This record gives sequence, structure tokens and C-alpha cells, in this order.
Amino acid sequence: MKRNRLLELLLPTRATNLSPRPNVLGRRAVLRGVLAGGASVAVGLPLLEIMLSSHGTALAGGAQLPVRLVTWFFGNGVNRARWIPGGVTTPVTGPRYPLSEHLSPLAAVRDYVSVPSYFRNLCAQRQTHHEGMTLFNGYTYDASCPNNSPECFQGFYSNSGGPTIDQVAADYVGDLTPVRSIQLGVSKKISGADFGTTMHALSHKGPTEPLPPQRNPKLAYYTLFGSIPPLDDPSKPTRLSVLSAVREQAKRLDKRLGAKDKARMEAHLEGLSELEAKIDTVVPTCATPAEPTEENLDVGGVEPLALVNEIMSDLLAVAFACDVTRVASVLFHEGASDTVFPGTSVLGHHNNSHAFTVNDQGIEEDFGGLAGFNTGLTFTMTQLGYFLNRLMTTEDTPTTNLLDNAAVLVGSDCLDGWSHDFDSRQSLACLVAGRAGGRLVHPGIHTLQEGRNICDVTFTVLKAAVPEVESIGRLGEDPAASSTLVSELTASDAL
Amino acid sequence: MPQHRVPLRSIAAVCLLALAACGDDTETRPRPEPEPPVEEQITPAPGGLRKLTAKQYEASVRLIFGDGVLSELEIPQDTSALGLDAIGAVEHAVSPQAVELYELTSRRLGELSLSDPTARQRVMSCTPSGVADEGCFSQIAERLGRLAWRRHLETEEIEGLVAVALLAAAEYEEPEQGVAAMVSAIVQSPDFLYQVEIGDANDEQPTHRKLRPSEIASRLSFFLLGRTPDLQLLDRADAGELDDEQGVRAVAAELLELPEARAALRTFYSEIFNLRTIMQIQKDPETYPFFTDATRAAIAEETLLFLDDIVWTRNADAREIFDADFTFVNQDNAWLYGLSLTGEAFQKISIDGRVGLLSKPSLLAKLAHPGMTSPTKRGLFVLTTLLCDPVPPPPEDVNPTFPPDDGQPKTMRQRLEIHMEQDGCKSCHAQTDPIGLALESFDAVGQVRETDQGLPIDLTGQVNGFGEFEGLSGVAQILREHDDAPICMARQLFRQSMGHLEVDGEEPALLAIDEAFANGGYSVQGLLVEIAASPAFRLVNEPR
Repeated sequence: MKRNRLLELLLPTRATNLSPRPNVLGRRAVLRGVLAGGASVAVGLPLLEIMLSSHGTALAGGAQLPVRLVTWFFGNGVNRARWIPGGVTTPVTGPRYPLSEHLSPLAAVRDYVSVPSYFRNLCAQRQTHHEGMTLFNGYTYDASCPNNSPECFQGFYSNSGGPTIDQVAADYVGDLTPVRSIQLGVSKKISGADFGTTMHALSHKGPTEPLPPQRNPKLAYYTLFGSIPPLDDPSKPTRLSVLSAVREQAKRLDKRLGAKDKARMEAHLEGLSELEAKIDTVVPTCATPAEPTEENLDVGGVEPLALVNEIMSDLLAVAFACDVTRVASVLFHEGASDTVFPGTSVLGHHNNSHAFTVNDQGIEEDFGGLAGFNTGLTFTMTQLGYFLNRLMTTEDTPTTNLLDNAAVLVGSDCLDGWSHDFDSRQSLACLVAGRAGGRLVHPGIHTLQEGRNICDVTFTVLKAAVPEVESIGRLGEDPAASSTLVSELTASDAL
Repeated sequence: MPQHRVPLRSIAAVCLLALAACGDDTETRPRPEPEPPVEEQITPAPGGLRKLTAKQYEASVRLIFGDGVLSELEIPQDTSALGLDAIGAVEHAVSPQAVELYELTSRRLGELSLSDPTARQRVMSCTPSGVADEGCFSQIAERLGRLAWRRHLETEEIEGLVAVALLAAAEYEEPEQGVAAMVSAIVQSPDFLYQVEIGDANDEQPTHRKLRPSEIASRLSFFLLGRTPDLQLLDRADAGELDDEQGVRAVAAELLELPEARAALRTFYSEIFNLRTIMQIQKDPETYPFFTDATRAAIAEETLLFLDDIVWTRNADAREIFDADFTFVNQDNAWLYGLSLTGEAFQKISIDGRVGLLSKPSLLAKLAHPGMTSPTKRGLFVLTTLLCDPVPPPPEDVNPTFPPDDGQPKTMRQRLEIHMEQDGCKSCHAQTDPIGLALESFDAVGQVRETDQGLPIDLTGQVNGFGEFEGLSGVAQILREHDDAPICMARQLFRQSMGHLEVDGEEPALLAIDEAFANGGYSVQGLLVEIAASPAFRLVNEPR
């Protein structure tokens, strides 16, 4: 993204309008101000050089550049023997750690990736796979049943215990961009072991407010780039007036509702508000990508996993560079789902994960799934590598790339897929990527802290993106909650 | 295990309620106290809002705008809860991405109301003469709103829609754009997107709120037809035809004559039997080179035709689902039976040894791995989906270990034996795996096989609470006679109709439905009517 191409679109009046709010790039507020002032000109949404300090490292008013927050999930854990840098018995910590077999697809971005090993998942309940999602929110999942039933589906029903960190971040920065946050997915295979939504949606606003991933690239494109009407187009006031009428109808209905449905209607209205704000903004003038034709349909039962991942990654990189959104989640594939990776065709990845064992000496014993699992994990990390590399090779400011200004939490629902980590360690596979504008350590490190709350890692990533956040989860009530930074992962670099 | 206990309790209670039906000891037992009507025994579940499922949305806009709009819809995907989209539609909030797709689709429907001939004819009951033709805008709002919102609109509501039309017509300087904007508002409104089932306060018995005529018409139509009610049904409801059980019963029976009733039941079976994801079944191309997309589509259709035949063509005993010996084949699935056929038309045939739903390649392929069978998945399906007896998750202390791989070929039974014997595993696998192992004579795409890894296959098994069996026919026989099987069918449809798992207060109504299902010879059509006529369906508690 070449920002200087956009400079010509900037009018002096716009820069003037920025000055009353030096600390926050209140993009939408700014644009509304311009419109209220009578100017009618398309302006670029991306950060413009004139708004940057002379080093291009911060906004002219001294505020930090925006940091993008991404969560990225893959299911069924890893093979510890081929994941931990240096190996299970001889782990090597610190910067420039040796790349293990599973991490080798991340070679190009290694300096942007840290590996926290053997942190502990303190989710207060466990029921295979579900507890792993605590990594993304700092809450123990909610297993209470509708209608106060004593039990539902014998323990396979659960919902997220609270908002995921991407949604916490969106509460702070979501209204600064046209799209508050986006949820994307790649594999369409669904876990058969979750009758709630804990594992089906990587993003939640709350226990019964799942934000399901969009797995169709065409529709992801629509959400990111396709739905903002041009300025002065009659569709803009028309759509706003329609949404206003819809809102009035919702209010009428609300009078008859009970508490639970009132909350659902409130969430629906929040969705309307997001849409209204988006319609009311200005079309991004940065070069948007071509609309993809791919719709993520299977041919011969084979999912177009790599293709969809690449398109989604490309869309996200442009969306970040254009400042269309700053918050995203990517559910690459669900835990306990039947996803089958290229090069494996006898068992799905989940079953492969249960068809071998690894012990504390790193000795593997194969029961038919080892090769397939390793192939699948290498493929998965290759896909993650594509995404991170795409961020790293996309210019954000003249001196930084998107990965410099991103905080990415990558994780799975267990460490050892084969055992669901029903061992004393109860760890999870996770990675931290990006420099978060200098707040995350660079080059990335391998840090091994057995027993420490893994949600400290989660909190560290969130706080790197949104420094105002003080904690995640229910402190003092839920052991998974955190308000403690992992100091080894943090930095205060000037980029 | 409430899902297990309720059916078992049901059987016992059915016997108490209908001693004659039990056929023994009727003379020696004291006559029971006369039972109060079921309506007085139950505590209905709370009323509230139910988001239309994607299929309901599609079928509803089809009714309103015609077939020409179907290819233009971008309907948000459903989120499932407790195994059904219908329950997710009650439990979950609509996401912002969904709100945006509803808006996109509503705008397309607005445009199609001008450009698609059928949609235009249905929407444009008048042609606005100018950008300020309030009279025509008002008429369109009133008529379209009545159908889409399933009730008469209040004056203020019509005025609100007309205001939308006036603004849009003026902005575009084009009168018909006013109509398009109203259409967009109408189909985005919560009055369209949610079924409203709240009723009016009942001061005498606050727990027993009667649904409003338009609400019961909607609940009936969405359950039986999978779509919003048409004007005729709304009028009949307004005229009081759905005010009591007899009325609902009579109208329900009529609605079952409509083609949409079959479509709605297909949607239900496609969901619970996983047929709607048939194109996503992945198979090892080396082992199963002929398992093409055409085959995938054909085996799903085969299964639906099998169910159609039992439920609609012959209105037969629903337990035939477990043991009927016929199926439907065409050029694309015949090879799975060792047959060769030409043409896309399906033919009904009988095949020795292949009885019931569990012999259908759609299920056998879905409940398998890409390159090998999965007795665990197959057994789990029998217990969970066919008997409503879900199996618990693995215990916390499970520490899976496996038999050493000595390089010798092993049958699936030999591989799984350890699961069924080891302490941590056996609590569940000793229930699921033996049932699935009885189906080991069918490979991972549903073809008959004589051996597994060149070794003979042992199809015998025994599961506590299920019975002793050998092979598919043995399992089918047990299911055919299993007390829980028809009760499970009734529960699954009840959950679909109501959008919630059955609650304790509904039990007397559930027992009455079970009894009527049995007395009616296990007719699914009869069961649909019984559920609709049940007080649990017609009444709601205070809104959730």
C-alpha cells in the first residue's frame, strides 16, 4: 500500500478538523465533521503521511499508531516432540530459538514470533477441547443449560464464559474504523463435540452472543469492502432511513419481551448501529482488492483450504492497511472437527491426533496417525505463515509493515492433541506474533514457564494492542482471569 | 441423564394413563383418579422470540416474492444449539455480520420487487404515480406488511414505512424506489426476522398465556410448512379457527396436504441425519475413486426418498425407518449396491440384507473416516440421534493408550477392543462401539464387504440397556421394538417445533403425544398433528 498516492485526496480542511482530537484518530467523527461542514469530497481512510510524525512512527499529535489485534485458532493441538523449540528434553529458550519441525514454516517471520511453552490453562472446568478456548478470553466456559435444565447433552454443551479479547479490543477501537471487527473462518467442518458455541465461534461478545466466522471469501469481501455506498449516492440516506425505521419497529416489539429476548434484541440493535455507522462513513479510496469469486465450496469433498486461507489473508492485509478494521479473528479449523488436510486421506486431523502418543521424554508411539498428524500440522503452520508473511510484506507506514503494528495471538485447544492434556500440565499450544508498535518483544523469544496462567499471555497480547485494558476475565472469581503481563514478551521499542 | 430418563419415565407413565393399552392386570388394579385435562397438568415453556432459521427465511421470502428471488439471497448461516438450529434461533443473538447480510438481502429483495415480474406483481398492488404518492405507498405497506409481519399493521407502523418510501423516492427522484425501500425495511424488521410467540397476559393463570391468533398461525405454519403463514391462514386465525384444540387439529391436518409440508420435514431430516452436509463428506480417492459429487448428491436424495415414502407416500408406521427393506437408486448410487443403472430417475428396489436408515450409504459414509469405518461414530449416532440417549464426554482422567502396533493386519474390532475394556474409555465405548461394530459389514462409503483387512468380520455384540444383536438386521430389529425409539422421534420433532429441549412442566403433554403417536400406528403425519394440537404447543408461559 503506497500511502503517498492518497495524499492528493487530502484537503487542508481535513487536517484542520483533526486538530481538536489529538489523542484519538476518531476517523468516523472526523468524517462526519467534514460532511457537516459542507465539504463533499472523497477522502482516503488510510493513515496519511501528513498525519504522521516526522519519523512516521506516531500520529502527529503524539498518539501511538493503531495496533491491529488478531486471534488465530487451529484445532487439536500439536505434537510436542516436534513443536517445542529444541525438543521436549532439551528445550532452547530465548531469542533466535531453533525452529522445530512444526514451526519451520514460520522461518521467514520467526523474529516476529514468540513461543510461550508449558503455561497452564486454568479454566475451572474441563470437557475435552472446550476448555482450550479459554485462551482467547480469560474466562472459564459457561456450561449452564437453557430453561434451568439440570444438564444438557451430558456435558457437551457449553458457551463462551465471556467476551473474547478481540471483542474487548473492538470495544475500545472498533468505532474508529468502518468495520468494528471481522470474524473469518477457513474449514467448514464443525466439531461434533460442542452442542453450544464455545468451539464454533472464535469470537464472542458474551455467552449467548457468538460471532460465527464468515467462511465465504466473497461475503468476507462484502463485509470489508463492499457495503459502503459512495458519497452523495441516494442509497446512503435511503439505507439509513430504512435502518432507522427498523430500529423503531424493534423498540415497539421490545415492550412485549422478557429479559432474555430484550438482551437479544439489544445485540441486534448493536448490529444495526454498526451497520449505520459503516454506511455513514466514506468509501475507502485506497486500492481495494478485486472481489474474489471463491465461495469455499468443496469439489469431490475436498475443501479449498489453502486457497481460502490465502484469499482471507490477503483481504485482511488490505483491510488493515486501509484501516477498514483493526480487529479480526480467524478460525482456521475447529477442534474435534473432521477437517482433512492435504496429503492425508485415511483419517481426519482430529482422529490422527488421537492415533499416536508422545511422552515426557519426547518419545512418540504411532498407532496410525502420526505421519498424518505431522503433515496436517505442517500444513496448518504453512497457512499461518502465509498470513503472517502477508502482514510482514505489507507496508503500513514508510518505515513499518503491518506485522510491526499487529498483536497476534495464535492458539489451539490443547497442547498434546492425543491426550486432550488431561495430564498434570494442562497446557495449550500458543504463539504470539507481531511487534504491536514496539510493545511486544523483538526478535521473538521462546519462553518456558511451566504452571503459569496461560491467560497472562492472552492479557499481554490484548494490552499490547489496547494499553487501556487492565484485566481480562473475572478477577478473584475465575482462576483463568488475568491482569499480569508476561514481561518476557513485552518491550518498549521505538519503531 | 434427563434425555434418557424422560423417555423411560414416559413409557411407565403412558401405561398408567392408559391401562387398557398395557393389556394386563386391568381388572385387579384400582381405577385411577380421573386425571385433569393435560392443559391443566402442564406448565408451558416461556414464550418469546425465535429468529427465522435460514431455511425458514428462504421459504418465507419465496412465499412472499416468488421463485425469482431465490438465487439472490445471502442468508446468514444458522447457529445451532443443543443439536438444532431451531434451538440456536432461540438461544443466540444475531451477530453484526448477520445483520449486515440481512440488510444486503433486503435491498436485493427491494430491487427485485421492481425488476422480477413475479415479485413485482405480488408487491406492487398499485403503481405510485409520483414521488409523493402516499396513498399507494400506504396501500403497499399495509398489504405487504400484513403478509411479511404475519399480522395487521398499526397506523403508526404504516406511517413509518411510508416515510421511508417518501424519502427514498425523493432521493432517487424515482417513485418506485420508494417501494423498494419499504420492502427493504419490511424484511429487515424484527417483525419479519423473528417469530413472535408471546401471547397476552392471563390474569387467572399467568403461566398459561394463549398465543394471539397471528402467533399461533405462525407457530403452526413455521412448524408444519417451514415458512411464514399465507394470507388465508392468517385470515382463518383472525376468524377464530385456531382458538381451540379442535380447530388447530383440523387446520394442521389440512396444512399437511401442502407440498411445503414435505419440504419442511425434509429440512428437518436433512438436519438431524446430517444430509445437508453431504457434499462435504471427504473420502480417500485411492480407496473410493467412484465416490463422486454426483454420488454424494444421490445418496442424500436416496435417503430422503426413503423417508418420504414411509411418511408421505404410504403414511406408514414410522418404525419402518429402522427395518424397511427398500431403497431408491439411480445411475449415481447404484454402484454402491453392485448394480449398474442408467438415468437420473430413482427407482424403488428391495435389497436383501439392507434394511432401514442404518443401511443407507449417506449415513454409513458420513459416520466413517475418509479411508476407514468408524464404529464409534455409527454407534454414537444410534444412541444419540435415534434413541435420544446422548453419551457423555470422556472422563477427566482418561489416559488413552493403544495396543502396540505389531505390523499385523487387524480388524476394526481388534483395534477398538482396548477402548471397550480400559477403565477410562469403556464407560462410553462399551455402549457405542459394539453397535457400530455390528455394521462393520459396510465399508466407509456403505458398500457391503465380507472381510476387513482380509480378516473375517465378527458382527455380534451386546450392550446393556440395548440388547444382544448380530449385524445390521439385529440392530434394526432392536430399534424397531425399542420403547425409546418412537419417543425419540416425537422428542426430536417437538424440539424442532418449539425451539427448546423439553422441560419438566411439559411432561404430561409429552406423554399424551407419545400415547397418541402409538395409538395412531406411529404415523409421522399423525404425530405432527398431535404436537401442533398439544396444549404445550398452543400455550406459552410468561416471556423469557
